[in-house]
Parts: sequence; structure tokens; C-alpha cells
Amino acid sequence: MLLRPLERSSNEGPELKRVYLVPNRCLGCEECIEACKREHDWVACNYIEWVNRIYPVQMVCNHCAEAPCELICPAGAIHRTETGAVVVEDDKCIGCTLCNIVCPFGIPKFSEEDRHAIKCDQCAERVAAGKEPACVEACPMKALTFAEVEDYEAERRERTARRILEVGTCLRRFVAKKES
Amino acid sequence: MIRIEIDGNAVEVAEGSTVLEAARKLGIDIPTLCHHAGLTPYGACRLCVVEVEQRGRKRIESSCTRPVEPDMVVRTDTDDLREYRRTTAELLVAQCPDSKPIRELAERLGVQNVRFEGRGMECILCGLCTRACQQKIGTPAISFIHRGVDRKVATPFEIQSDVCIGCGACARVCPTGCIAIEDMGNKRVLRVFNTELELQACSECGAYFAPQRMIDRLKTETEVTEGLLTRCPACRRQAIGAVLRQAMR
Amino acid sequence: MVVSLLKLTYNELVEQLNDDDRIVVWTCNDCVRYCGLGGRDPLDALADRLEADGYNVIHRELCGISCNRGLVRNRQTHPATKPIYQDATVIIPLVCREGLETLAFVFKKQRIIDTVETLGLGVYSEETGMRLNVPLEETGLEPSIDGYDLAELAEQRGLHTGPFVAGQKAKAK
Repeated sequence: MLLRPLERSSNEGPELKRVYLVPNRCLGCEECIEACKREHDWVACNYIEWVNRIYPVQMVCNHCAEAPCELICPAGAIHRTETGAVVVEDDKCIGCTLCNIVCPFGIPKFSEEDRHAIKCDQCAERVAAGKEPACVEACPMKALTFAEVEDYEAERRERTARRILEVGTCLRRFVAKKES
Repeated sequence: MIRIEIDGNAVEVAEGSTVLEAARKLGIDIPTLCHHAGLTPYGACRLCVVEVEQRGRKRIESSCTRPVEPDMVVRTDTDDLREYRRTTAELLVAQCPDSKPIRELAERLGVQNVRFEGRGMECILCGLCTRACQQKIGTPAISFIHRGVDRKVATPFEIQSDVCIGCGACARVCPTGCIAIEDMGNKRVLRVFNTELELQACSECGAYFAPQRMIDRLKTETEVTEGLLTRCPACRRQAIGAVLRQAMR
Repeated sequence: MVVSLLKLTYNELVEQLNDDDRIVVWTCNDCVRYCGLGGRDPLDALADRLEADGYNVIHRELCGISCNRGLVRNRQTHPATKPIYQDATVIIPLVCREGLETLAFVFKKQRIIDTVETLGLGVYSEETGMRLNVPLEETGLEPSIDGYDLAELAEQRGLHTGPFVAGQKAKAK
């Protein structure tokens, strides 16, 4: 009964769109956190982590395929929606904080005030209305994208190709100068 | 699906759901204290009473334990019910006069003065904590002990529990707020249950983040990666952030 | 990055407030954070102090880039914050002059307290903190590669380095 062993698969359903980050573009302005707060009644469920104290990395729930939080939740309050997002049902949560402890990314929070766990629901209402999640829309640097894996990878390949091209032309110019 | 009528509004709910759930689906607010959507209904507080009319007979029943049946007509806000709820709330205030949520609810239900003598308890014996602990967490750490007026929630023999994992679910579901969890240094103290638990320190930042026993239990009963459980969530975020930064330049 | 210093001390700021003002404390989270004036911790520290002194702080706003008019206007029009800004009478901004002008442009009805003097452009590094490298013409300073130290500048020009109210120690970023 208790802490269900992690064996139940919840990996079915449609391919999930996720929030992806391009760390180089992130300023660490926390606009995503503010947008999340406005969307979710002044409690944010995303984070900005400062790596080596100078590189900001935005962190948000990954909606893992076999989400540990979903598997561990003894009250069955965390479940996967039709769109593939892993969400907390507020009124079912008994506040054991196990989701917080087992999350490999340390994302779910616990609100002592509302007495339930808080995690990203991928802005269910907004996405249902055909909009992007609030954090993605708010990012002034366009560092966040809301896409399926393939689309994001394609975009990333293109970005890298462009960079290689840039570096290549720089090098060529440099070499040409030296020879002359 | 079963179709019932609540306060003149028809609603269709799945078989086996309760009247309370059906009412909530309609957006009708029925006051409750001992109900929690994640736990089995218990019917202890008697505040959620409704009038159920079936085959011409009327009965007052608690909506959280009453399964829906076809051709039910439910009324949630009659004079009788208001009176009934008011008296119940008055008794609850008498039971625990110091609990703020109870007094607020009683005020909302129209209790002006309490005619009954106070017992000065803090617990209304709704059993939410014991249900959360036994059914969901699966640890029989707390249960009801004694009978009648002596009935209360406690650990076996009212001494330090050796199975409590210190998750704190009991405190978070408690409607009166009478279970306090205090983290003092490396100890988590549940004073009402005479229980003290050691907290585990994060291997990186040294912050105490979870009870030792909870971690031990997760290690033995689940397949959570072991290295994961030595770090606090904040340090996990830091570590993953560093990896992301490296990998996704 | 834009280098700014505070014009006012906390006491001078409080003199400009009335007891019945409904205050929004606003901070930018970009350049001023590196100058040590703004960001989440100074925002909370200032708002806490104002609340402790009996002022009516109705909202704490952190705006990622306050010189971006779109982001500022977003606050004004977003359903979650719109009523707050309709209600507010005073905005205390912890932003550079550019941000101040943007705020003044967007929030026409509120009184916006001028708290900050912007001195020019600078570079932030972890060892030296923020230093002023390209001062504005009106400051009369020469551009310098090594840069000017902010504490010295503040002393020379009668300004103050941030934050307004020292709260819990701001994380070094």
C-alpha cells in the first residue's frame, strides 16, 4: 500500500510539449517567475538557479515520462492529464511532501499556507486556449520555447549550424589575412 | 452515470460518488471539517448534513458519506439544516474553543454565543490525521485511543512512535490546526504525539531537509536512486542547473 | 550595464510619503540588481521596512527589465495586477532613469518617486562588482577602462550606494 514502488508506467498518451531553455539567452531577470505568479495566484512554481553565481538557468517541471512524484504520491493526488502534463490535484493532496523529496530536479514546492504541494501544471488553461505557458510568453529574451522534442531539436540544430557558419567565416578571414 | 437533483439543479455524476461531490461539482458550498478529497469519507463532523428526499420520504444525512442514488432530491440549505449545522458548530466550538478555523467556521454558520461548557480540547476527533497516516502513508503511527469522553488521537501508549516517518501529513490535513510540526536544528518535533525524529542533513549545503526515517523508508521500499536522497531539493536544482548549463550552451 | 546610485536615504524617501498612500514598491531585476539597489532582496527589505513603519504597501512588483515598455505595460493591463495599479497612488521604483521614464510614461496617474540617479554605463565582474566605465556627459567624468568605484563616486557626489534598506544579506550574483 504505502509508498507505491516505482513500477507503474504512465508513459502513454500524446507527445508532450515541454518548456525548453536556451541558457545563453537567459538574463536571469525572473520575468518568468513573475508571470507564473500572476498566473497561479501569486505562487510561482519555477526557479532561476545561478550556476557559479553568474549563469542563470531557469528550471521548471519536466513532466517526466515516469514521473517519480506521480508514482510516489500516496494520496494519488498527482496525475497525468490528457495533454501529458503531470499536475497536482490540490484538494487531494495530504501534504506529505514526498513529491518534493523524490523529485530528481527538486521542483515541487510545498505551500504551508494552502497546505498542498505546488508544481507546474504547464498552464493548463492557457494551453487549452491555444496559448503558450505564461513563463514562455513572458520571457523577454525568448530564452524559453514551448515545443515538442523534435521541433526543439531542429531549432537547436539550426542555431548551432548558424554559429558554426559564423565561426567558420571568422576563421577564414583570419587565415586569409595571414597569408597575404 | 446517475442523475440527481440538488437545490433544484440537475447534475450527473458517476455511480459511487457522494452527494457532497455532486454538490461540489455544481459549485454548491457545503461546510465540512472532516472531509478530504484524497481520503475516504468518515462522517465525523456532521456539518455537511443535507436533506435527502427519496420516494417521498425526507431524511437528514451527512452528504460526505451518502452515495448518490437515482431519483434523489437533495436540499442543502433549508432552515432545518441551518439550525442543525449551527448547533453542531456550537458543540464543536465548545469542544475546542481555542481553534481559530473552527471559530471562523462557526461564525460563518451563524453561531453567536456558545451555550455549552467548554472542554478545552484542540482536536475535534475527525480522524483525518489517522486516516491520512494509516491509509495513505501506510504507517499505523497514530490512531484513536480510549473510549467515550477520553477518546483522543495518539501514538500507541502515547510514547515516541517508532514507525512515524515524520512526513507531516497529519498536520496538513488537520482542520483545527492542532498538530504542530517544529523543526528544531536536526530534530523534527511533533509535540502532540510525543515524537521526535532526526532530520537528514544535505550532503552539500548541510541544511536539514527531511526526516532520516522517511529517507530510509524511501530507500528500502522504492527504487529512487540512492544518491538523490542525500541532497536537498535546492542543491539538486543547483546541480541539475550546472549540468544543463554545460550541456545546452 | 547602466550604473545607478540612490539619491535618497530611507528617511528622505519616507518624507515624500503620506500615511494614506497606497504604495507599490517596484524593482527592476537587471542592471540595478548588479548595482546592489534592486532585485528581489532589496525589494522585500524595503517593503518590509515600510510595512513595519506603518505604510500601506499594497504590492511588491519585480519587473525583469523595467526599461522595456511592453513589460511595464503588461503589469498595467494584466488581469491579475490591473486592479492593483488602478488602486495604487504611489510607486517607489528601484530602477534606473530609463526605467523611471518608462514607468512615468505608462503609469500616468500614480506619483512616481524619483529615487535614483543614473551615472552612465559600467561593467560588472565578480571580483570588483559594478564599476562605472562610460560616465554620462553631465557627470563631467572621463571615460575610463579601469572604471570608477561606486562607493567612492557616491561619496563624492552626495549619493548613496544601495540597497535602500539592508535586509537579509543579498545573495552575491
